[in-house]
Amino acid sequence: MQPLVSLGSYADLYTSLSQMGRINYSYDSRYLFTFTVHRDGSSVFGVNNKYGVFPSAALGWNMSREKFMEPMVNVLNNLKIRLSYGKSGNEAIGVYQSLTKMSTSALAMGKASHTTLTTQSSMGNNDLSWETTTGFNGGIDFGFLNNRVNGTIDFYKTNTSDLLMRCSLPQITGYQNVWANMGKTSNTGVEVTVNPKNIVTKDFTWSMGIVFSWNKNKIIDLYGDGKDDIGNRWFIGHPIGVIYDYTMVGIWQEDEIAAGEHLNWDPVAQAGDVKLADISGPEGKPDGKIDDNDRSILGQTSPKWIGGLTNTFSYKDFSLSIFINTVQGSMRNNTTIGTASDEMGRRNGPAEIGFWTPENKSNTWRSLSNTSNRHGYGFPCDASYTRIKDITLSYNLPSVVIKNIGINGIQLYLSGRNLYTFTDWIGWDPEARYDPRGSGNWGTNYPVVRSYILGVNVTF
Amino acid sequence: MDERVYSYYVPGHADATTIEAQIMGLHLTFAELWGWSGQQGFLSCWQIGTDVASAGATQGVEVPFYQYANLNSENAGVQYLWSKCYDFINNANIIISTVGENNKSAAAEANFFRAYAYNILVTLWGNVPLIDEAITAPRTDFTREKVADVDQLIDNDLTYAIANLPEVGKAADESRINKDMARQLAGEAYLRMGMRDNSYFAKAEQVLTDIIESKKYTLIDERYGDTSEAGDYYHDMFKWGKQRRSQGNTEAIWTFEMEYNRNVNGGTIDNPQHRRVWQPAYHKWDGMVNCDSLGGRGNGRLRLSNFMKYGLYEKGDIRNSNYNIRRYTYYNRPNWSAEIGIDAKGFRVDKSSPKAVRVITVKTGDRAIPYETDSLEVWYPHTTKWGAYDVTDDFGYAVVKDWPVMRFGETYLLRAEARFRQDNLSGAAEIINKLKDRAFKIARQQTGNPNLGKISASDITLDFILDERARELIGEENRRMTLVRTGMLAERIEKNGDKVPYAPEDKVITGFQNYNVLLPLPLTEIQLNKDAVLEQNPGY
Repeated sequence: MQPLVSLGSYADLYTSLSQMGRINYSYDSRYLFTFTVHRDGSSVFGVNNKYGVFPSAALGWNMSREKFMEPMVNVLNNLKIRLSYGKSGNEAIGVYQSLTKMSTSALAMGKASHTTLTTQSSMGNNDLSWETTTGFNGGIDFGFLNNRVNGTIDFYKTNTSDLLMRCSLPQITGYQNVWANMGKTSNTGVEVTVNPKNIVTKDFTWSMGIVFSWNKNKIIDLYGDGKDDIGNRWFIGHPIGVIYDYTMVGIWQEDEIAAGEHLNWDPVAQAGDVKLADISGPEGKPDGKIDDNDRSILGQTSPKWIGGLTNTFSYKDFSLSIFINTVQGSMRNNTTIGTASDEMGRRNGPAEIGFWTPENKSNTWRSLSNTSNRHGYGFPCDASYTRIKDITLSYNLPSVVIKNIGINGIQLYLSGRNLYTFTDWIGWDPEARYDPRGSGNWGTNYPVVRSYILGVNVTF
Repeated sequence: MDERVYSYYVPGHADATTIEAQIMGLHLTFAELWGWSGQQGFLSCWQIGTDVASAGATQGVEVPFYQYANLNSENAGVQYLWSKCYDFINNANIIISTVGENNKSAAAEANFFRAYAYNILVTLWGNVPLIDEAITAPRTDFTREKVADVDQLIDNDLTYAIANLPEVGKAADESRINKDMARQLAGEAYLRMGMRDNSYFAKAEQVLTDIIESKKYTLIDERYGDTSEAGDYYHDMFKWGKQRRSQGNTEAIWTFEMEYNRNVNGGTIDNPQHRRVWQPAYHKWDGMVNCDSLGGRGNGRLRLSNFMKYGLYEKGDIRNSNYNIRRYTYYNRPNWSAEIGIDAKGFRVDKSSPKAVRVITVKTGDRAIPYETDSLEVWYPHTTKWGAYDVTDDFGYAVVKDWPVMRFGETYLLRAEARFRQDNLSGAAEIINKLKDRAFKIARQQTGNPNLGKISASDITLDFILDERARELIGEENRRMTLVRTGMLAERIEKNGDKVPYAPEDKVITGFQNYNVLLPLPLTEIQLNKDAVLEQNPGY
């Protein structure tokens, strides 16, 4: 028997070609104007559509340098207003996505290995082209009291069209999806950064860094006909990533099943099953069974807003920084809860996940039977959290001490990361990936870990 | 800016090596379809909820196939079979349109697989979208075509295939598609088409007769190959290493080959679940170890129905010997013994249980005594056709042995069915008797009765033919497709025989309604086909 040896090699070709022009004008460092245009081509796009043209213009006004602002310069030392408008292109995909490709594999026949070729799941598209974003951005940079408080505020509104999306196809085509340019989305948002220095004295300073961003994403159109694409979970007027699922209202109890309450609601339910709301049927009214008509949009998968707060205290050679961040408004399917009935017999799970039994008539947790969630409810949960992300205490050895040894600086530090998370999420962490057993990268699921680091930085 | 592809293939090249690899890709798709382990109960879907099998330790995907009220358009088994069929069709269409008239045997092999896929689709779903050319631009406007139109394509494809495929023994490999495989598929498909247009029954008989008249196949009725292990000649056909024509199996028409991956790259595709589905989980008894003679480790996902187990076989039928339907076994863990209790019915109980009427000691080599509840998944009469044991892999997530996809025994059954449909009852009995001759050969010698098991024309009914198919082909045929194509699913479910309280409530067939004869179209297909309406099958 000969040992099997496997060899492989890979090569691909990617080319891009661009032409660009720019005009820059500035008057007295007060008025600024820039105009840019570029024409980009990339080999990744379809045979018919390799190039895109992207112009943009920007204006800036350094208001604080105006004569009428001079009296206020001690209070308001920096004020700049920025406006820009333009188009940019996004390439976003790898090579060969506009082609139908075939995969090789092996099959044994006659005790020998034969090469096989089958089409991949993605269909080719000769018209595939650039994704274009047209956007407006307005911003203010400011500084008060000689930059004692400084920061920026930005407001943007962009429309993206011809998005590069993997559009699911009916399996009748022999393919699962195709890369296509489709639809229009908009993103509206605000981003704020403020850096106040609260206390500044000879030995002690306390400064803060505040960041905040809020974004609203919306699908404006998909295929040009104003219709939703339920198969892909894309709904006009809603964000790209939504949770579209049943509404869970409790758990079926034995007495309810015995009384036949489920017969005109969810006839296939058994005691211990998830109880789902019968919201609608083909006529728009509850129809006595649970099916796709009872799914609705429950939330979005991207956060609604994100914030971060850094407090930095320094006293002589010591420094303490505390960073807290928060992510609010997103929902995620909780696969830890979703796979509990199969997993709890095999490995440890979070103690908070309970289960229904005839004695423990839970109205929150379902039974451990592998048919207790027969409609495939995804257990979407609020994935918002606030996390004490990083606390670092550091000490710089005084230069007087170390200069003699020929070292420029020694810093000792102790820091803790992910020290505590405030969240309603059940499971490892709202950010941790938890692929169910047998799918995705489940073999490398890993929680968010709390860590402590003690270290030394030496500069020569 | 043009993309030059260095490490991938794109469709459109007609050179022999690329086309050969694409044909092998069709065989790979076949392996992926029936060897799928993503839903371990997938194979059960086509057996339980019928007359021959009932649910055991179900995995989940198969549950709506016997608790019919749960069968809906989101079932993963329905989705998988549908999408794999259209995989066959798309890849076959690409081959056929690429080679044109320049490579008839390649086009013929592709036509075979296309017909195979469409035959599954129309049998189980009825009207389906018909695509006969490679799709070059994305489409979401498919409509369901009438069964008669799809059948016309199947007929044309198989006619072309039969005309242009090589004779048995002349194909590049013995498991490459040859004329007789196409003939047998045509026989089965024409019998179904005959229900709608009875001129097809004669066509069915013709293609099946062509297989028989070629005299290339004979029924196995003598032991062959390595007979060092105890067994009988019927069981020999299903021992890995003796399943192929080249290994002495003169009855094999299409044997799908498997090898250990450690010996041949691509030997086993995914993890075929056949053994885990058909064999009981006797490893749960502490007195048992997995072993080759018992066929390795099973999960007991389905079990034979009462109909199948009791009363279907006559005494002396070799297909019901303990080598083929194993009903009893012996404790085989070395140096083992235990004290057990026996209850009034002869079942095992704990030695301290109040139900025990006596306490005995059992040891290695004694006949195994089951608990009363074992017959659900731990020990029950089971077909041994899927037994295979790899000493390096006791758990055996995959079964590594050849698949008996088509054999000569079925040719006789299909031909008998064709004759029955043409009211040639004596002709049908004549053919079935050939199977009976093989089945009762040893019993006739032992009892001195040369007519043991023989039947006559008056025995021939559709029920009898379906019974004989079960006796001969249990574990091999797709029973659901057989009953659906003969229009007998509703009637034969009544014969299953598993009833409450002898079987638990959640393991018996419930909720069957006449519309359940057809499967639902997958919901995602209807939703994604946004430019035309794919009507769902009624009732779903």
